Amino acid sequence: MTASDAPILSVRNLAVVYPLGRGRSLRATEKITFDVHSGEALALVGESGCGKSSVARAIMQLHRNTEGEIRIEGHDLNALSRAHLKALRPKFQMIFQDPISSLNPRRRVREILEAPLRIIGVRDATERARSIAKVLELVSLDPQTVLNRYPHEFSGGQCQRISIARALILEPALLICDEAVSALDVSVRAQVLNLLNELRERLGLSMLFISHDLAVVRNIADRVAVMYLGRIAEIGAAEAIFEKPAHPYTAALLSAVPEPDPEATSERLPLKGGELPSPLSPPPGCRFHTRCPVALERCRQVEPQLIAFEDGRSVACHNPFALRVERKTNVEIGAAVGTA
Amino acid sequence: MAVSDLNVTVAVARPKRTARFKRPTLRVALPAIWIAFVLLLVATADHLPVPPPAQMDFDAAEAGPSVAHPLGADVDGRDILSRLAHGARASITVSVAAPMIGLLVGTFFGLVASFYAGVTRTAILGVLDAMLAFPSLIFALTLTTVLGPTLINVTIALGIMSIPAFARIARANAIVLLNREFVLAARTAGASDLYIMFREILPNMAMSLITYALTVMSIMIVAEGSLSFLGVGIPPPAPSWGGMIAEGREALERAPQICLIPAFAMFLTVLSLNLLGDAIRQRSEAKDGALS
Amino acid sequence: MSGPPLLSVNRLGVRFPTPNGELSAVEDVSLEVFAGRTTAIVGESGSGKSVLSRAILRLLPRKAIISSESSIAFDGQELLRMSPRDLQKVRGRRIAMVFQDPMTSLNPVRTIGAQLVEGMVLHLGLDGASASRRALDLLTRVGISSPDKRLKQFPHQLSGGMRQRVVIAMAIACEPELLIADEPTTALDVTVQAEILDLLRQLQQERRMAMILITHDLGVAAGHSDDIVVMYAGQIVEKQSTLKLFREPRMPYTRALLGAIPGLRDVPHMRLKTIPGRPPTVYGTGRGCRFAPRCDQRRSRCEHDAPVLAEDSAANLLRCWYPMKGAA
Repeated sequence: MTASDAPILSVRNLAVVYPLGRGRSLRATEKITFDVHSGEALALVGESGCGKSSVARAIMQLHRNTEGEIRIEGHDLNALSRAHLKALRPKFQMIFQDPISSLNPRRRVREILEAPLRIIGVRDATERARSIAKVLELVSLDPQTVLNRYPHEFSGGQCQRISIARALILEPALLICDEAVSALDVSVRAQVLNLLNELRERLGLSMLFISHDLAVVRNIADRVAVMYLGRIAEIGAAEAIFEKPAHPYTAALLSAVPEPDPEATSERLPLKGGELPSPLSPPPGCRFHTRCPVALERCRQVEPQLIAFEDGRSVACHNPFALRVERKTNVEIGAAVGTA
Repeated sequence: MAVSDLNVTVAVARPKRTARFKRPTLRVALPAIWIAFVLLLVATADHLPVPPPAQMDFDAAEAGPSVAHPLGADVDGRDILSRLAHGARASITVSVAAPMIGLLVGTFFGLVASFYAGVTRTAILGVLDAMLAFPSLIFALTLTTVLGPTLINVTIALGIMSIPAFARIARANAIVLLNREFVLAARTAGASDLYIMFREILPNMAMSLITYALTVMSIMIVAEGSLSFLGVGIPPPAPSWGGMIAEGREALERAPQICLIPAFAMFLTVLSLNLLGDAIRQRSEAKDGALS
Repeated sequence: MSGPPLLSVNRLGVRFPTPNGELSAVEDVSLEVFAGRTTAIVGESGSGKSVLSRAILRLLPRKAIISSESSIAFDGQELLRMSPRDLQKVRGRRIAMVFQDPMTSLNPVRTIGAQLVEGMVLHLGLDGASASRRALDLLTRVGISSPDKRLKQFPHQLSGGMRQRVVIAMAIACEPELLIADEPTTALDVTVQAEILDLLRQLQQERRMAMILITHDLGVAAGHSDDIVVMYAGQIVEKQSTLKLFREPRMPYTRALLGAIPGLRDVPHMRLKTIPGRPPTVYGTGRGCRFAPRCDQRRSRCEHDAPVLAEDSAANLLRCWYPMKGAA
């Protein structure tokens, strides 16, 4: 494997641990393994408690109580000295969910954008100004009107663009977006999604996109990893997974997404049991079996491992492809009923 | 798209720029005027056209207001206005310097306790708790008795007393701020703990600490007054408001103004500081509210 | 359509005094809600939909100014001029409301049972025992397992989805005729959201309730409403039956909004249609259409002549001089 083949981000068996005091700890994720290749966008999808945000924070080294391996451009982050890690940080940057909280309210935009440059030691003021002008152009903000203002003078969408500019100013190879559009209005969300797509193309940026919104993921991701209760249930090309989900959870998730089309009724695949098990005491065997409508006896006993399929995806399930998402329009349903 | 996008949004962001600066209301103006007046007294204490504060004049003992003594004279014939002005020095010095100590030391420890978990945090919080539990006035009393009752010692004693409260406020604020995304963003750029403490966290705590400092100032004035009243503050003949109140007790029935004037001055000063603190807090809350 | 409207809002206007002048939160809003039907009110932030929903039950903050020509008629009675005592008989009993955040809708220091029973004792005059029995039934109806155990639990012991079910149970406890749901599923996971929305629909059909569903999510509105009202900058800009709205949106804003939503079956990396600029914060009444600055269909008339809300023969509403034709 030559250096140019190496994925930008490589995660192996990542477990994120939160100590709870008195000797107990919460293992928010278990054995998470995936790669992000150059120029690709991988989405981490799942509902609350699945651990996707924990993965993001662990990768960014914001939370260091972890097991497993995280490599950026081949370098093992846990094995680096503090100085080396700091030198590597420009390569991987992050944008967050709350656009307003992402910016220091007491600083002007100019200072906010300069800060990362100062931190890594760019002393030349003209060089900083040039970098700032460049990133502002990338996110379509006018420096004249933006630099001297404070965050509270901007809308959510603009704040998010400033955050993106800040993340880009160090010229990262990888951008991690943690629910970056979830807090935005519909029309603003579209703007930011377009911007992210455009940046990926223009800069060859790699992206790890974390979201619970499958429609957004469809728009932005090349590959998708579906997470449930700390594990990866299914991972593969977005196209394949959306068209024909293998894992029953993926199928149920897809069927639950409300589509802006009153005539497209997809039969919603209900989940059993109703309640998400506590991450502190996950069910034995497959973690999903308590809510899975097609669970087998084996699922209660043996935890499924990720198995590779021909189309390039990997699925952790003893009974894959058992649950089908049927998408019909009212016309087809009517016709079917008519003939029955 | 960029320009039109910006035109619409920026044009709307601040509908009436000029409306921002409002005429100060009475609730802010009056306290500010009183405080200014007290500061004026402090500055001009030596130049007032009245006898020096220690000069006794038994002919005028307990006299009411007159040309020679605009606010009257106390039990020993000393000029009340003069003593009020010089006493103000003691009050103001203590009330400004003591909270400063608390602010600087307390904020430091509060920040450290919020950043670094483990033994450091437990130790700091333990000591702070012990200090909070200890009856404060007794502590100040002990300190001044042991070290001698001078202005500096009183200031230090009261300053130390105020450390735990500042530390708690600093820590409470810091804990919230540490989880805010802009702090995380600084970390992801590789910022050191010191950088984050001083350039990200501290500026966002400043308002909260300053408004609390104003409250502490008013408490200090009363505290200093209490110590002087009990006779363990700044020793006579150096004037102080608390001491004046104590001395005026014996003449309470004959010439109540000897007691009441310094008491009133203290009351107004404390009230003014509290009102100003409230006003500042309201304005800073409004600004924070705009972003959350 | 069955008979006269249960709720009839007419020319509702709500303003708030602010340091920057009077903010017009809702202006000239008129709509009708019928028994057994769900009307979705859709809009982005600042559209005024939440203010509208709270205005109906007069839950606005004290400083809110309701304009004098406003009228909210519920079953023939004028809600805006009702005495506090009469209003209390309507709130919770005939009109119930479900809010977005179940964590703040429930009192954290009282048990679920206590909160459920309270409304029934107050409005229906039930004694404690019958109310408790009914509470058990309600919890079962909304799909909560082990209801007897839950009655004694506190809100923090339940998950977000369960809490919202409890809130719904409380809302329907007194058999209201109208249920107002303000973003009831926004804070919930997708799978839970689907279950809650289905539950609301079922309850509505069982009890022939009228329902107002407020949401920013057009997908939610598509699958769970009969009519949709689109709001922008405090005004109603379009109202149609749900089917027709998605097939043939007439207002340029609605079209743009639909174009901006990513769909599960879209082409990946598709460029979404965006609306330049952002919604105005409206101070006072301006000239011209409020959407004009951002509208790609605007013409000169739109800029200085504010369009009025026009109603057509099928009771559809539209606020636009140049509505668009044909499919989206």
